[in-house]
Amino acid sequence: MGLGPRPMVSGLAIRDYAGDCEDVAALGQKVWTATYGNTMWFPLWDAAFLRWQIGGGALAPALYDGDRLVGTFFSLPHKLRIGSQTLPVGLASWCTVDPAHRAGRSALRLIGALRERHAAHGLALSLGVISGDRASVAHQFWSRYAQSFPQNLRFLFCFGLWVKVLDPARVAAAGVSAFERLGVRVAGPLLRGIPSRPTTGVRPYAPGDLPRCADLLAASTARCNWALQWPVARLAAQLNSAVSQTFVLESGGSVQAFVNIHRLSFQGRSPVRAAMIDLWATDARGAGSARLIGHLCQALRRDGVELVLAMRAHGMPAPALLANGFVPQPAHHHVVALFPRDDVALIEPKTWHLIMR
Amino acid sequence: MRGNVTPVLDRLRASPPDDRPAILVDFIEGQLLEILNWDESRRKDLARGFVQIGLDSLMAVELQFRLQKALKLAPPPEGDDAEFEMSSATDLADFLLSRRLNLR
Repeated sequence: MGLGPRPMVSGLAIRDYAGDCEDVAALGQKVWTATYGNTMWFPLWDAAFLRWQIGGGALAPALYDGDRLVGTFFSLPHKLRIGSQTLPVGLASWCTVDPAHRAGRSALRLIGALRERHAAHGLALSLGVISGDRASVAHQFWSRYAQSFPQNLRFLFCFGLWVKVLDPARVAAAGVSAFERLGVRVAGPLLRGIPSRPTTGVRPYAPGDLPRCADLLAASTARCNWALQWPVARLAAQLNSAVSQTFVLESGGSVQAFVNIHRLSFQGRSPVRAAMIDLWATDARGAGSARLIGHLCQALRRDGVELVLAMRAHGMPAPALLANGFVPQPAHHHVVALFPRDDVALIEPKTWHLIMR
Repeated sequence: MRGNVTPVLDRLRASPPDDRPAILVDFIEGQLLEILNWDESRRKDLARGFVQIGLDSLMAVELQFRLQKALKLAPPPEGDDAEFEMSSATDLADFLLSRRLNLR
């Protein structure tokens, strides 16, 4: 097989996405609600989030029926340091096909198109996250795909999340199982608590903090054998945008730590307003980290956020998270790698620092 | 598993070349009936082609996986997914016999 155009079902065509992301958000919400509604949690990415992510040069093959968007599979180019080697990679997500257009094996064609774009842009691989729920269509599809095409896709490792419930009533109402609803209700008073601490030195991020934040992050990720690299321009867009927010902990005129989140909604039986901690870095010890996380939670609650999540990645401040009522969830999600060719050798990701998209 | 209990690869190898396409088409159609959860009476509908019978990507990778196991096929070289470009069980059987099994 070459990289040429593939035969498609009449009227369907894959081309690079062009649009304002409103249609991508609408497609994802429609398809994922129809596929997973009331049975499992899934993110509801809105157009603002997608513009933030996709606007920066994503590889974006999209399936169109005429002018109508009916499928997507995007990947965001990044640099990933693996051991001492830095590779051009992508963060792949948003693999979605309208059920009415699946008969032409559309998802496989989108995967092929993304792999072709990987090869054309010299990317070594794309990382993606797949739910560990074996009943989900995504898990069934990708696990079978990996078995049939082990050169194309590998399951790398599992990870869990840190979860902080800020509004137990809303989160319990959205729970997809009776056990989850009951558990959150019963433990609600404990889960929602945020110990009162002075917030001395904690303030919102300002652009002047960027060089120091970049240094802190570089020092923090240097301890990992798999770590996304954050050039200053990319970090600036990550730390402060329409959907992301950052707080810093300052002491003696110097930033000692920062925490960065982005906002999104998760859908269970009903939608929940959530925040995902993407980046954390510090050279502070002890109470300073707990103060910063506590301040973050208070600020998010004031803004109506009901749930805070973080990947259980190396370097996340476990004591500070536990001190603020975050609960570690078991490893349930899979990180997978999609390869454009089969000659990429990887060392095992023992300590990793990634973001979830 | 429907049909003849002798492994399909053994049957293909033991058969005259002219009989092999029909044996493999029959096997592929049996797998499709299971994947689609259709009963035997709908076998004739499979001749309409993969798109027309609603074969989606999940079903296609399931079919691919079953064929690799049953026919002892190595994963396609360089991630080649040429099987997915075949439009019917007949085309797919012809492709597998000539390109993957060397049994034409």
